[in-house]
This record gives sequence, structure tokens and C-alpha cells, in this order.
Amino acid sequence: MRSLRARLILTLIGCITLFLAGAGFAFYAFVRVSLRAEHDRALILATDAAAPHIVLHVCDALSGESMEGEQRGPDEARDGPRPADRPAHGEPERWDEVARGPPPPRPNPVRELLERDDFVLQVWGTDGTPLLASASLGDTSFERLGRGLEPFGPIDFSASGAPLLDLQHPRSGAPLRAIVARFSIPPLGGAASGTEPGTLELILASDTSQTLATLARLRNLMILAWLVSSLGCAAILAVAVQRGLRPLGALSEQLREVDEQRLGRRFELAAPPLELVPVIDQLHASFGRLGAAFEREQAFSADAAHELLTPLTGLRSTLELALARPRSGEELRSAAQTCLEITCAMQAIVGDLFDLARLGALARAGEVGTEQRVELAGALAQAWVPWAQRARERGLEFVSDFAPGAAVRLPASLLERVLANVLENAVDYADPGGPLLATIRALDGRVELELSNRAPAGTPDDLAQRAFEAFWRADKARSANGRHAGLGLALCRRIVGATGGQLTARYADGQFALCASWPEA
Amino acid sequence: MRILVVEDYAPLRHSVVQCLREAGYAVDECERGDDGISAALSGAHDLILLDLMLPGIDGFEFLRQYRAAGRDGHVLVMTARNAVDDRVRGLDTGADDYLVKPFAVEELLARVRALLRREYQRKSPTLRVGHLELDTRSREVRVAGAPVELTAKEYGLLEYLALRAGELVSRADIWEHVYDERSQTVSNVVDVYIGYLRKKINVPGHPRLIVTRRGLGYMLVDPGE
Repeated sequence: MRSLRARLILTLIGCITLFLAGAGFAFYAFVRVSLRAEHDRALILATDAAAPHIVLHVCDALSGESMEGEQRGPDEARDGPRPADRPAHGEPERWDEVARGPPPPRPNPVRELLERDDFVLQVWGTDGTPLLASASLGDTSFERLGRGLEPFGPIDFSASGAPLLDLQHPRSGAPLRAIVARFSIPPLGGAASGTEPGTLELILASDTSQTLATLARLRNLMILAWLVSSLGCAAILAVAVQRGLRPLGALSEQLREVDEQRLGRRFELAAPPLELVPVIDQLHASFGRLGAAFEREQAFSADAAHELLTPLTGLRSTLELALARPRSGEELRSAAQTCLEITCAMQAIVGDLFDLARLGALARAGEVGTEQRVELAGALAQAWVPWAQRARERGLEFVSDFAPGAAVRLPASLLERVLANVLENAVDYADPGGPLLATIRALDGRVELELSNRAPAGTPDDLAQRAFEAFWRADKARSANGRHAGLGLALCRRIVGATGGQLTARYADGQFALCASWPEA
Repeated sequence: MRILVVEDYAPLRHSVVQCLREAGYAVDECERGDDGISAALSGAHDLILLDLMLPGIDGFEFLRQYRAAGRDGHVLVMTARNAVDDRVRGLDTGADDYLVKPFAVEELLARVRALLRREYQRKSPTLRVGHLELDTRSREVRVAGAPVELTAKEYGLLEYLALRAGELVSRADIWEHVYDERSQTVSNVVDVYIGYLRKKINVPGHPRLIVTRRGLGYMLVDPGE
């Protein structure tokens, strides 16, 4: 498991380096495409410029004329071969020209092109005969690539639209960018010469090694810049994340100091970031609830220990007393009987404690069965039987008002336990001579069972609030048989809650009522 | 010595009461706090053993009412509440000692003896009056070095007189401090037991230890003084 700091740093560095790499790649691609486009445009322009001269040069060569010092311009080339009645170049047409002497030989662009190192030219005739080739080619040759192309010309020699290819110099292997084009040429010797018009096929290539080297340098430089930027970002991010996580570290330190003795402590951060404020509030609330639960648990354990310590003391003192001196058989039998009663009482308390814990666990796991349908009136009538005699002795009159057919879904054994507890409480604690009212009613999809009685004088006002507290008794007297240890109603509430119901208490005007309600079956 | 036990848990109350009676004390018992305070305020108990969690009124309220009534008898609290707060509260409310459950009967008796000695400003567990010697720990009595067998009631009467040696002790005092509410209310029961004691502790060659002040009461005297 990586730390949050490591995760943040790695994620941020990953994102930033990816972004830098992407941006660098895009920039490099843009530069590369731009340079290539510029190169291609220059190549096309060069082809456009050279094509008329090449056509003218080739035509002149094919028509047997000397090319040296007799070059014509492109306009002438476009106009076709010179008519026979026109004087040849170099011939004086007027005497003033004679007087000036022969004009200087015009530069031959084709020958210059053929001599250049940065351009490579090769021209083939209609029948594929190599007509021109750059000096750099030596005895090597390009492969003919333009045989299937539509020829340009004879009027327009623009090579726009001609295919551009990446080739290698056949001799040196240098990278080249080449344009492949075909041009129409007029009949040699003019339209009246009787010769057929033909085509020229050319490859004009320029050396791209310089451009590629420039691009390679740019790429290396960008990779270096990317590495340096990434390392720099990592260092900055490490510091930034460290500073950013400082409040979290401080909170973590304070959390580490929390134990069961200090659940109520407050977490204080100097200028806490907004994102941590709700976390701190939630921590305060959670630890508050935990502390309250812990205190309840401690109080419960203390109460449980207290309830067990008193009978334990009784057990010990009874045994010590019996052993303190020689006793008669009757005395020893009496002591043994007392010890047995105390043990049974402790067993009852421990059993209730165990049931409380077990029911809590079952309820949390949702494992309390609700398949069994139990009719409440029948169950209550049956549960009343064991208490009827004691109720009569205390002058309590059992008054019932049962809605017919009201039933709930829960294990019958648990319902019997609830009914036995609440009836025992009512019979033992009700003010003698008063009625004991049992009501079963069905309301809004729920079934309610209410048992109410008159409370004796001196009943504390907070009876309803505290009735379900474990080990709380309205009258603190313990019974020697373990009954009324203050666990019965707590257990009942847990049973009713675990079976989908609610158990509530009401105490007003001297009347105490317990009301259990479940969804109607 | 007369002791009041206020404890709601019947088995424990019964065993403590029996244990104290077998030790020679007169013992009254109450189950409820409100009954206990009535008994304590109306009786002349040398010591009260008090539980804290009681029906009626609890032990703290018992102590408050007892001290508020100006009673300065010693109170030993017996409780399962052993938290420091509870002990401090109990002692601050007026208890003289605190015994946490579960306890051994021997410890209970030792604390009872200690508190009773304090009640009568005695520090030694051995009481000596002339040639009479009482060991309150073992409840052995020796007269001129020879052991004397006494019943629990006789020992209780002699111990009370020994604790108040040199003082005139009226029959009413003896009745209140040596006999409990179970005792027969026979008018001359004190005189009868004094007679029993005299027979057992008077030895030839030694002056009498118990002197009668006719119409006033009895006095245990040191013949050498």
C-alpha cells in the first residue's frame, strides 16, 4: 500500500510528464510537418521553374541543336520549336547587333541544375530513354515512377498535384524528397515537321538530410528538455505535496494519540484547509458517539460486575461462615441450600447477560427468524396463566381488550419470553388492588400490545426513561432468586427490536404502561 | 457491642448477621435504606454496616441523614461499587471505612473490631483490666493468666464493660449496646448475665473486678488503681 504522498507525487508527475511528452510530440510533429510542407512547396516551385527549361533543353537536344549558348526562354519553349524561317539564335538580325558583337551566352539553368549537389534530376523520354541525369547520379539511376501519370503541359508546366515521394539517392543513399511528373512535349521541328508529340518523365529530388538532421537535433533537445522538466516538476511537486499534506500529517499525529481514555479530545489544526474541516467535524462526531458507546459499555460492565459481586459476596460469606466452626448437619444443609439459591440467581443473571449479547449479535446479523406467525391474544392468555395466582394474591384484576386475529411474525419462544417478563414486572410492581389492563389492537398495519398498571407511591418520575436501562430498578431491592436484577426489560426491548418491533414505556399520572408494536402479520 | 446491618441482599445480610452474632455482637438488621435510617436514629448502635445500593433511600442518602441528625457512630460501607469516585464520595459523605465486595468474613470482622476500638478510643486489640485480659481478635479471656470459657453473650457483655473500664455503666446502656432487638425483654436479664460473668471471672485470691453501684449500674474496675 503506497502512502498518499507517494500516490499524489507519482500521479502528478505521471500526468505532468505525459502532458509535457504529448505537448512536445505535438510541437515536434507540427515542426516536422511544416518543414516538410515547406520543403515540398519549394520542390514544386523548383519543378515549376525548371520544367520549361528542361522541356526546351530536351527538345533542343532531340532536334539536334547545340545547347551551348543557344538557350531559349521558357516562353519560347511553351510556344513550341522555333519556325524555320526565323533566324537562329546567335545570328545577327540587324547590323547594330553585328556592331555590338555577339550577345554573351545566356546561363543554362538545366545544366546548372544538373550540376547542383542539393538537387538530383533525372529525365526520361517518351520511350523511357534516359535523357538527362544529375552528375551526382553517376552511373546510377532512379527507378522510373511516373509512367502511369497524367502528363502536364504542353502549355502549363505547373507541377502542382504531382506526387511527392521519399526516396533514397541511388548512389549515396542520402534521403531525398522527390517530385515525379510527366510533361507533354510538342512535335519536334514544329507541328509541320510530321513528328509525333511525346512526353518527358522526370524526377526532381532535393536532399533532405539537412532537414532531417535539424529535426533530429530538435527531437533530442526536446527529449532532454522533457527529462529536465520532469525532474524539476518532481522536485517541486514533492515539496508542494509535502507542504500540502502537512495538515493531514498533523491530524494523523493527533489521531494517533487518541485512545479509549481520550475519545472526547478535540482536533486542533492551525488554519485547517477547507477540505479537512468536514473531516474533522465528522471525526469529532464519530469519536463522540464512540465515547458515548464506550461509556455505556463500561457502565454496563460495571453494573454487571456489581450485580454479580453482591451474590458472590453472599456465596463466599455463607461458605466461610459454615466453615468457621463445627456445624450441625442441619446448619450445613441450610448453608448449602442458601449457596444453591445464590448460584441459581447468579446463573439467571449470567443467562440474561448472555441472551442480551446473543440477541444483539443476531439482530445485527439479521438472523432472527420471522417466519412463524403468532396470534398475540392466544400467546398473552397462555403467558398469563403462571402469574394469575400471584396477581390474585396482590389484589390485581386482569382486564383484557383483545382485537381478534391480531398476529405478528416472530419466533414464539421469544414472544413468550417478552410476555413473561412484562407480566412478571406488572404483577410484582403494580400498586396492589388496581386493575392490570392488557390491550391488543391493530392500527395502520401494525399490531400493538399494551400492558398498563397503577404504579406504587414513590415511583421515580423518570421511570419511563430509565425502564430499559440494564440493571436499573425503580425499587433497588434485589431478590435472592435473581429475579428483577434490572435486566428483564432491557432484554425485552432487545428481543422486540430484533424481531422488527418497538417496545416503549409511558409513565404519567401514576399509570405505567409498556407498549410493544410489530408490523401486522 | 451493638451493630446495625443494612443490606438488601438477603443471603448476604443473613450470613453477615450470623457471623457477627457468633462473634458476640448484638446485631440488628434492615433490608431497606429508609427502615435502616429509622433504626439507626432510634437505636444506640456502636457500628453500622451499610450497603450503598438500597431500596427506599440509598446508602449515600442514609449517611447524609445520619450525620445531619448529629449522630457520630461509626459506619462501615460494604459495596460492590469500588470506583475511586464512589469510595471518595462515600467517605466524604460520612463513612468511616469502606469494604469492597466480595470480601472475606475475617476481614469484615477485623474492620469491625478496629472501628469499635476507635469508638472507645482504644488502639490495642488486647484489653487489660487488672488481672483480666481480653484478646478481641481471638475472643479469648484470661483471668490471672488462666483461660476462661465464655458464651458469645457473656463475652460481648465483658468486652463492653472492659472498653468502658473505670466508668459506671447503667443497665440501660448495657441493654442498648449488648442486646439486640431479638433479645428477650426480661427485666433482670442484665443482672443475670452479670451474675454469670462474676462466677467465671472471680478467682480466689484476687479482688472482684465487677463492682455494683446499687440503683446506678455496674463498673469494671482495676483493683490496682
